[in-house]
Amino acid sequence: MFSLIFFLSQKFAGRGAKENFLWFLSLFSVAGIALGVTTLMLVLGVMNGFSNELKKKIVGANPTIYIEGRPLLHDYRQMMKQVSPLAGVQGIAPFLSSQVIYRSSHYLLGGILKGVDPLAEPKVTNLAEFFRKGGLDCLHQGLVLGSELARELEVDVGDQVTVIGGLLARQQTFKVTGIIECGVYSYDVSVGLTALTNVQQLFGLGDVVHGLGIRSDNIYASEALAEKISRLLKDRYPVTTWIQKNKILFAALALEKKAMAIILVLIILVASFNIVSTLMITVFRKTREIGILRAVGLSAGDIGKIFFCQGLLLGVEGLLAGLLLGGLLSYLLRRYQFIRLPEFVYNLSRLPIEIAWKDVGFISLAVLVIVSLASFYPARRAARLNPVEALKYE
Amino acid sequence: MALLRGEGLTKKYGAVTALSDVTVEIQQGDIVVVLGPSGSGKTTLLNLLAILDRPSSGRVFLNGQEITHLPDPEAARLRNRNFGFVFQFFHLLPELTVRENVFLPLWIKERQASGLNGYRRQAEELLARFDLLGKKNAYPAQLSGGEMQRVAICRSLICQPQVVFADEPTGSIDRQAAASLLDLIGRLNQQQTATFVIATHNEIFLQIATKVVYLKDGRIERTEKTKIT
Repeated sequence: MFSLIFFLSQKFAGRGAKENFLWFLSLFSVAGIALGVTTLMLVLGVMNGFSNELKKKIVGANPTIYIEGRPLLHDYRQMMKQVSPLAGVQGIAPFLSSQVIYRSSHYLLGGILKGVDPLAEPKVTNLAEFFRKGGLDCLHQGLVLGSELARELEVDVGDQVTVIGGLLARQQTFKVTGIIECGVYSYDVSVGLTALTNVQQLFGLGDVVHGLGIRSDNIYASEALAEKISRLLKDRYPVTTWIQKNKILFAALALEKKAMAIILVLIILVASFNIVSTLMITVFRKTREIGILRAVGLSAGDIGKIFFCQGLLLGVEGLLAGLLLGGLLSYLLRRYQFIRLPEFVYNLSRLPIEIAWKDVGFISLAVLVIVSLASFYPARRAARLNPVEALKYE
Repeated sequence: MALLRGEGLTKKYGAVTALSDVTVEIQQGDIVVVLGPSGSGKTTLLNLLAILDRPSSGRVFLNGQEITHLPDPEAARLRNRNFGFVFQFFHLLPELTVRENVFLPLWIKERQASGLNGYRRQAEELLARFDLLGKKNAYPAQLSGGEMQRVAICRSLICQPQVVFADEPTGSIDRQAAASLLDLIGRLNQQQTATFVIATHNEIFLQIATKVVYLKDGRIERTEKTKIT
């Protein structure tokens, strides 16, 4: 039976005989849905792209799991031996981190000084990739500054920077030996790095650290691994993840994406009004044909199905065209990266785009629901036509 | 037992009575001609007998079974399997080719797309009998009035109905086409014992009628059985 309904739906959409008027109306309905779908797909894809780029940068610059001391870890070497063999642990590295004041010959700026183990750190962060000047071996010899911090202090490799910090306001002058840039502005404008031993010496600490940074195999499985580590350490120390530390940021991004999706679904809603008017005009113009079909044996329900199917068909065509166009544009954007961004604002030079299957599913479902609702009323109107009155219609 | 029987059929549209207490009986093989001037209730009577419309009062029986108030899907199925329709303005679907128009009721009856080749073949056989095979892929707009009426007759016969209802079948065709239509209906009636109920004001149908019902102002003025019976 569906094939008959589908056949008549197609014919009534003006595709069989040359009914240009209905064909144009159908075409515009399809185009409206297609444009809505393309817009929704591209915007959600760009938001995914931004979010994923940000995640990559955050995860690149930081460990995925932290074991934090209260405030110091004295038995960190033992702890490293305990945690390292756990499944899912890719690397583990100690760190000392403190708020400090950086003083150059011209400026004074607040920031964070991190003491890291130059051998272990590359196993938990992508530090080695961030060097614009110098390399990991520079950490022993002096201070490596974030690119924005160095710019603000107006210093470069070879210049002197004094670091002031700790409860007793200890200070030490370091030679700038390297510049790093990870692409996250808040990191690049505040962080200075040196070898762990240099920080221990600056603050007069012994062989202690503030915490351990861990990189997990799967960044999205960090929560489960963190729980395992916490149990292993008998809950003596707080174990947190990159997700928890950036919860607010990612919650804001997710909220923004939801808001955009809701706003953009309105485009499809508006486009579906085209379908309503197309179907209403079709019902109006095909009144006599409806009477004929009733006479030759179609029930009121069958008539309703024809117009419902026609609406659905327009929606599905629009959806497929939109997905195709959206997919093609996304591919071209990824392949040729022709939309440039001001890097100092976005930390990205090209517009990132990543289409998620979940979003494609959401868009498809939204279109099908909206189009079904839009088709319902015209289909009901068609079904309710009195066959005798319909046959008289001129 | 009558093939089709309308009993005390009355149809009112608000204060207007279109048909009043009409009783008719149609036997297998009859050609019943309902004659009367415009507004006499001919089309209303046809619509009620074919259960396209429901009477304000009265009942309709097919083979002794009451069919007056069947639920819509059952009424639709019954119309499809038992009744054929020929209208004054042909009422072919303009979006469909001649062949598609003809096999559409068969598709509705069988509801199987897998039988499409069979439906096409049956439609072509019927079109060939009516000298229309050459026009099978034409659209109705490309046909003459007489051709359209013959296509409409093909469509009405494809499901081998018990009764064919024709409402002013000569209303939109010239005298020559009307004469050949008359001949065609007569032949179909004799060769296949097809039963026809024809609402018309054209008295040429009296030549082939087995029964004539004269309507005036929604009432039966008189009923005549003709010598052809």
